[in-house]
Amino acid sequence: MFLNIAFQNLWRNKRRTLFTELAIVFGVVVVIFTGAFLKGMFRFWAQDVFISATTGAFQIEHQKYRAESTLDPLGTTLTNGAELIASVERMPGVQAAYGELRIVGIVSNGSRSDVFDGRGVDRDGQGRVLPGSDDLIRAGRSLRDDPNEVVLGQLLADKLGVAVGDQVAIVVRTLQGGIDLMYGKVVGVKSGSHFPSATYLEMNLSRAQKFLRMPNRVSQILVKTREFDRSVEYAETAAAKLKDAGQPVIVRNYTELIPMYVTVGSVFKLIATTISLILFVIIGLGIANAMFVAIRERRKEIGTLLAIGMEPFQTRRLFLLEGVLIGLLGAVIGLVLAVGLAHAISAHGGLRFDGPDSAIITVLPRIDWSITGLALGLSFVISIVASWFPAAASAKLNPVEALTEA
Amino acid sequence: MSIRIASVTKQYQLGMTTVNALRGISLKIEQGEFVALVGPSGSGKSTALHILGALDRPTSGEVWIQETPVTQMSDKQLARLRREHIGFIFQSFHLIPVLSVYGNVEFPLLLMKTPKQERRERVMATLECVGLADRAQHKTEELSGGQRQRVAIARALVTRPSIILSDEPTANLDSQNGKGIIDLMQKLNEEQRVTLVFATHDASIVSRAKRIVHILDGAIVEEVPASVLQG
Ligand SMILES: Nc1ncnc2c1ncn2[C@@H]1O[C@H](COP(=O)(O)OP(=O)(O)OP(=O)(O)O)[C@@H](O)[C@H]1O
Ligand SMILES: [Mg+2]
Repeated sequence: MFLNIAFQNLWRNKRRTLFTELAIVFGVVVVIFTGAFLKGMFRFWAQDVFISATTGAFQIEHQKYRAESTLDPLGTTLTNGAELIASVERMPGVQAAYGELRIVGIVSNGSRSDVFDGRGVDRDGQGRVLPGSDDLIRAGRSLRDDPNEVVLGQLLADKLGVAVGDQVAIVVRTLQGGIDLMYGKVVGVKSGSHFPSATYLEMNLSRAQKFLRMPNRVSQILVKTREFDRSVEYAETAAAKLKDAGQPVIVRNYTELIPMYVTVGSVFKLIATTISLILFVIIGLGIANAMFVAIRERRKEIGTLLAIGMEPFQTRRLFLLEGVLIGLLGAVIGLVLAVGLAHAISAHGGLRFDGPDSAIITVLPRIDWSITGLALGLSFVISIVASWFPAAASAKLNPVEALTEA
Repeated sequence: MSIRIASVTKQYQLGMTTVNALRGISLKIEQGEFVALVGPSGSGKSTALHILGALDRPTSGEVWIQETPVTQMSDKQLARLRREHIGFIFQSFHLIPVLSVYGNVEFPLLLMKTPKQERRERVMATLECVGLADRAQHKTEELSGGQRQRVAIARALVTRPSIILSDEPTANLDSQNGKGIIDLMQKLNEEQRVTLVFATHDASIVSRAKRIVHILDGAIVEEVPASVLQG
């Protein structure tokens, strides 16, 4: 029954309501948008630096691989590479999959040598699963079909003093325990942020398999998903299917693959949460002020209501309702604006920034529903808290004093 | 319903000085009476009226409404008492600006949780009674002073209170409108036996009251019963 009165009162004081609303809307938009922006940035970081360049959305490897990676990296590989990859590619949500074989050894230019921890990669698959991997090329080009081509990490190349076009000797221990040697021609140099360029060496998968005497074996299968946002779910499905098929494998999704994914995510979340708390304290003070003014202006009205028999708790409820209406209205408008803004910016290609190494960072703002929920919840809670004291003051009013003052 | 007050005092503390607004007044008002509280400005008429209507608490003394002592009641109980039994009419109307004429008159019934259908009937009947049925959907600011006071009367009447307390209801009205208001209230008093208590300077109200209580400097100095006036 007070709803109508509360609405009318807000409407009557259009200007004050408008400004209070603007403050709330502004706060809600800033919080939601900041959340969206940070999430977009986080996703850019995750996707551009890792998922599309080195990790893929999820990976499949032998379940003992992690534990044995230093002692027996070759023994804990997947033996039926091609078939397994083909079956993974048929799994729901999987757009493409390819295999990598870890290859560890010594690389030398004849006068200097160093250890490397590299990969044999299936070039076709790499292009499909890691579309960003070519962006890591700093000099030269990516691998082609020639089995003797290699790509080196930039720091490794620098340490060895080799450049594109030079030849290197590569020594490895084979699966069976023998030693093998090959000569590779450096065709490209790679580096990037979070890229192990001090130890990286890349050659064609088929060459690596032959080199290590490990036909059809891969250490990891990397997967690109159709819908990035459902990657974790797809990874779980794949894990379940592989388990049913009796494969001794483990599936790791990108949140496990990217170093510090959880930490970085929670830092971003912390920033957004802090901003929202600060903003909402300010907004709360604004609402409280507006409500105190409203109550001062309407003392006579409150006195009248009390005189005709309204109980003090009811006047308190009336003003609480007004505060909550302001808060809710602002939250809803803010939500619509912020979501609209985020979508509009994403639809127009996102926000671009110059990143390090003349890279361009493109942030597509993504609504972060946990921050959005926080913003909506906070605007609700804050409007109650902020109206509480003014409303309580209204309930304490002495009707005679309120009615008789000039 | 009767109201009885005994040895009621009311003091206001203004800084270091104490204002004695009422200095121990006793008064009994029976159901159906038409009483005018008269006296010079500042004599304590309004204060007395507020205490009679359970809107204010005396500094000392006792107040019984329908032989129930009210001085010990909580604010909530007092609010309920006012809601169910007492109607107030003020000099400056005090309508709720955001509500229509209808909404203002309906409000006390909403507080009493009267069912919708009954609410409608009673609001319209009351507006009919004060001659404003055709203005039900108007905003109060579209009304003249006299019409606004009628809305205030309708609001006070709609709960069928047994007593209506009225503080200078005609002071903001011209004599024409003032007379209309008094006619209306007198009619209510005669036809529905509503107890009327006015605080007033208005000679035309005083002349129609059946009992006149003179207050001077916070004390009752003279009571003139209706019989004396009429005789
Ligand atoms: N809230 C208050 N604080 C201090 N003094 C007050 C207060 N209310 C009333 N008074 C004082 O109490 C006395 C009685 O006031 P009251 O309003 O009852 O007089 P009144 O007879 O209604 O006067 P008027 O005819 O001008 O309305 C006056 O001296 C007034 O100054
Ligand atoms: Mg007065």
